[in-house]
Amino acid sequence: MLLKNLKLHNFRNYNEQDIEFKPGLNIILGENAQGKSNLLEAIEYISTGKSYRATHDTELISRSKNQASIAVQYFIDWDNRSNLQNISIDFKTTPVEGKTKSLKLEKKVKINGATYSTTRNLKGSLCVVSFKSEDLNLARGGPKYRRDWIDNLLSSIDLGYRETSNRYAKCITQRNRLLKNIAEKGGRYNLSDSDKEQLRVWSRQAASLGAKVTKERLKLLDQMRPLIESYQEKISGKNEPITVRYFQTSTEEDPESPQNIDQQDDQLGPNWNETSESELESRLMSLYKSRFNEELARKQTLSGPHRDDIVFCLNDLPAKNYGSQGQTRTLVLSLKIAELDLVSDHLHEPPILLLDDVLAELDLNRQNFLMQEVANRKDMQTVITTTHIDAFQKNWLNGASFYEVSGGFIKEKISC
Amino acid sequence: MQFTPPLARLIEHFQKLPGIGPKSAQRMAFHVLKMSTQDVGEFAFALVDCKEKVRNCSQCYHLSASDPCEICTNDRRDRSTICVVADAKDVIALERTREYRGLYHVLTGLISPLEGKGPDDLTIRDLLLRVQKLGVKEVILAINPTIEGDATVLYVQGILKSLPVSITRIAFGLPVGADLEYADDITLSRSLAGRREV
Repeated sequence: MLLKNLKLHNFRNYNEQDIEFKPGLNIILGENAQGKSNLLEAIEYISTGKSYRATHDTELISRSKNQASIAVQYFIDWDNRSNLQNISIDFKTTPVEGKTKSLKLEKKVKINGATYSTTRNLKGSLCVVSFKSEDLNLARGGPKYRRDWIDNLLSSIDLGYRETSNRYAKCITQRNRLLKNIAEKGGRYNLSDSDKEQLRVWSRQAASLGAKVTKERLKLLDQMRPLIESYQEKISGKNEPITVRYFQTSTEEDPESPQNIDQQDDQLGPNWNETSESELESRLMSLYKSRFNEELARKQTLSGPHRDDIVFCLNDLPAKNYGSQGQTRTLVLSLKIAELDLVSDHLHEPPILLLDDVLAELDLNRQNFLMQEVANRKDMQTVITTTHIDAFQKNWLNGASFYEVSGGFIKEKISC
Repeated sequence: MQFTPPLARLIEHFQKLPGIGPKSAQRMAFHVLKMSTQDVGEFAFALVDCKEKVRNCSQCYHLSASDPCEICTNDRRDRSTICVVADAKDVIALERTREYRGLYHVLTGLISPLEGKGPDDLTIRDLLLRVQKLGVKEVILAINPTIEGDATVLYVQGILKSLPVSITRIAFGLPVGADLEYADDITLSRSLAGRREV
C-alpha cells in the first residue's frame, strides 16, 4: 500500500494542508506540540474510523471552527500504481437546539465516490499499522488495552470478526439490562418462569457469540506466538521462551495478580489454543451459572471476552509484573513487528507503518532493530515522526524524504 | 411571519407523523388548503374511522377491522401451518408474495430488555394455546436475524418444544437479482451456511 497524498482542512492545529508522501521512509521533523502526532492521527483515522486519543470526534475539528475534513489518495498495489483510490471524511458540527453546550457531529465518508454517513465502511480500505508510545501499555497497562488491541487487529484482517463482536456487545447490553430487571424485581428467589426462560435465551446467545469471539482471538494468538518469540530472540539475543496465556475471569480477584496465574480454573489450560468453540461455549454457560448471584448483585455480565485478558509470560513469569523496563519494551516491539507480519500476510504486501516518536522510547539496540526491520521491508511505506534527526543513524536515512512541521504547517525539506 | 392559528395547528399535527419534518409538514398543510372541502372531509373521516375500527385480531393479532380478521376466518387457508412474525407490516409483506396459504401469528414486537419488552409483553402465550387448539403441524418463524430476533426465536422454540409440531425458520441469503460480488461478507457466509443441494 502506498499513501500518495493527504489533505487536511481545519483538522486539529492544521488550517489548510496538502502533503505528498514518497515511497519508503518519510521522516516528519518538528519540535513538540507542532502537529506531528496530529498528522499521524489523521492517517490512522482514515484507516480505522476512530481516533486513539480523542474521546469525542468533535475534538478533531480546529477550535472555533465548525467543520473539518481529511482526504487521502493512495494506491492499493505498491507495484501497480495505476489505480488511485480516494477517501475523504467531512466533519460538521451543528448546535443542538435548546442546549447551548452540546454539538451534533455529522460525518460524511466518501470512498471512491460512494458516500456514507458512518465510518463503518472505512475498515478494509487503507491499511495501517501504527506504533506509538501508548502501545507500551500492551505490556504494562490494564486488560482493556490488550482487548482493544486484539479486537482492532482482528477486525482489520477479518471483516466477519467485527460483525460478530458487535453482535456480542449488543447481546451483552441486553443481557445486562435483563439482569438489572431481575435484580430489581426481587432477585433469584422471585424469578418468574418467563424471566428464567428469557435469561436462558440471552445466556445461550451470549455464550455462543462469546465463544466465537474468543476462538478467533485464540487462533490469532496462536499464529502470533512463534513470531513474537523469534523477534524477541533477535532483539535480546537471548532465547527467552514466551508463553501466551488467555484468561477467563472466573473470580472477582484481579486476574493479573501473580498468585492468580497459577490458578488453573482462571485460565484455559496449556493447550488453550486447541480449545474448541463448543468447549468455550459450555465453559461460558457454566461460568454464567456459577456466578449468577454475583452477576445479579452487580447487574452485569461478568464472564466472557469483554472481561478476558491476555497475559504474556517470559520464562513463565508474567511480563507485566516481573518484566524489566527493557523486557517489556522488547515484548511490545516484538508484538508490533509480529502484527506487521500478520497484516502484510493478509494483504499480500506491507501496510503503511506509522511510527509516532517511538525511537525516543527505545534504546540504541532496539532502535537499530526496528529500523533494520523497516529497511528489510523494501516495499513498505513508513511515516515516522521525531524531534531530533540526530537520533537517526546515517545509514537509516538512505532514500528517505524529510518534512518539517512547525505551528500547523508542513514543508518538504530537500535534504537534511 | 407566523401562520394563522388553524394552519399552524395543522402543520404541527403533520409534523408529529414519522418521517415528516417542518418543511414537508408545511407543504402538506398548504396542499390541504387547496383540496376540495369534500376531499378534506373524507380525509378527516378516514383518519377517525381508521382509528375507531381497526383493532388487533383476537386470534392472530394482525390489524383488522373485523374480529376475527379476514385471514383467520378464510376457510380456504391452511389451518395446520402458522407463520410467526414480529409486526403486522410483515404480514402484509408476506401476503404480497401470494405464496403462503396458512395462518399468521403477530408477536407485536421482539424480546428486548433494553426497550422493556419481555416475553410476557408479546403474544407468545396465545401462540402456544393456538398451536395446541388448532393442532398445528408446522410453525414457520419469519423473524429478522437481529440479536433480538434470534433471542425471540430461541424463546419461542423453547416454549413449543414439548408440542408435536415442526418449527422452521425462513432462510437468509442473497436477495434475488443480487450480485455475489457486491454482497456483504455476513450475508454471504449466512447463505453459504444455509446452502441446499440442487
